[in-house]
Amino acid sequence: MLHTVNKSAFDNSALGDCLAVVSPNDAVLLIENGVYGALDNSPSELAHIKNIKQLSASGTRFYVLQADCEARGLAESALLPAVTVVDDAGFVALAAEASAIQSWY
Amino acid sequence: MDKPSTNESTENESTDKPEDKDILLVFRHAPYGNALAREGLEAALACGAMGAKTSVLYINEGVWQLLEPQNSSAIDCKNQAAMASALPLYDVDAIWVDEDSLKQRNLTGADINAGKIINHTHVQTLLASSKRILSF
Repeated sequence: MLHTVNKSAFDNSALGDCLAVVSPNDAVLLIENGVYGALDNSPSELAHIKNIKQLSASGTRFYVLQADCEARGLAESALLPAVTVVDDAGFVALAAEASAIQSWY
Repeated sequence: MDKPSTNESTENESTDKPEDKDILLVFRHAPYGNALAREGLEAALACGAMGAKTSVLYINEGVWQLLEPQNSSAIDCKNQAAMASALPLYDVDAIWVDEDSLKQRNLTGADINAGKIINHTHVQTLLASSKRILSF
């Protein structure tokens, strides 16, 4: 299934709550202020970064919406390697292939 | 109602002189996702244009507003960074950025486009010494 998260990991528990229950077969798409959760800040090793890395290793797919990254000045090079950038068509494709969609907000 | 007229004239005089007023605007939210950042900047520019001694403080999620380049046309929004670059033109030169908020987000001075980074103690002093604060 597809999970979407639209709140920043730095002032909201939505991403953490999502990561606590996702399965290896799931896809997680970060949109709107949710894209800040995909920033790679290895020095401080925040909880959500560790979780994304672990879940990614076990098969969960992670995506960010391109338009939301560009709007907020987040370069693709600043994102976690585990995260794939998708455009609006990619968002639609993820939604279409998903058995169900859970929005975390 | 029963006030002496001298008091009234003093009050009127003070409201007519915005340059006597100093005001701090606190930006605590990310640039997009809601209207707070845009409204805060509009208020800051208005304060500056009115001649008030205006300072702004970027703290917590507000520091995201300072990342560039922002291609906000991708989400059909007005460019916040471009708007913020107008602050000095409106005599808003006191632009402060909270160091702890940057660190928590693994950002450094090299990542942000404006403002002077101040530590926790300076932020406390700034807030404590401001008589008028608007929060966005």
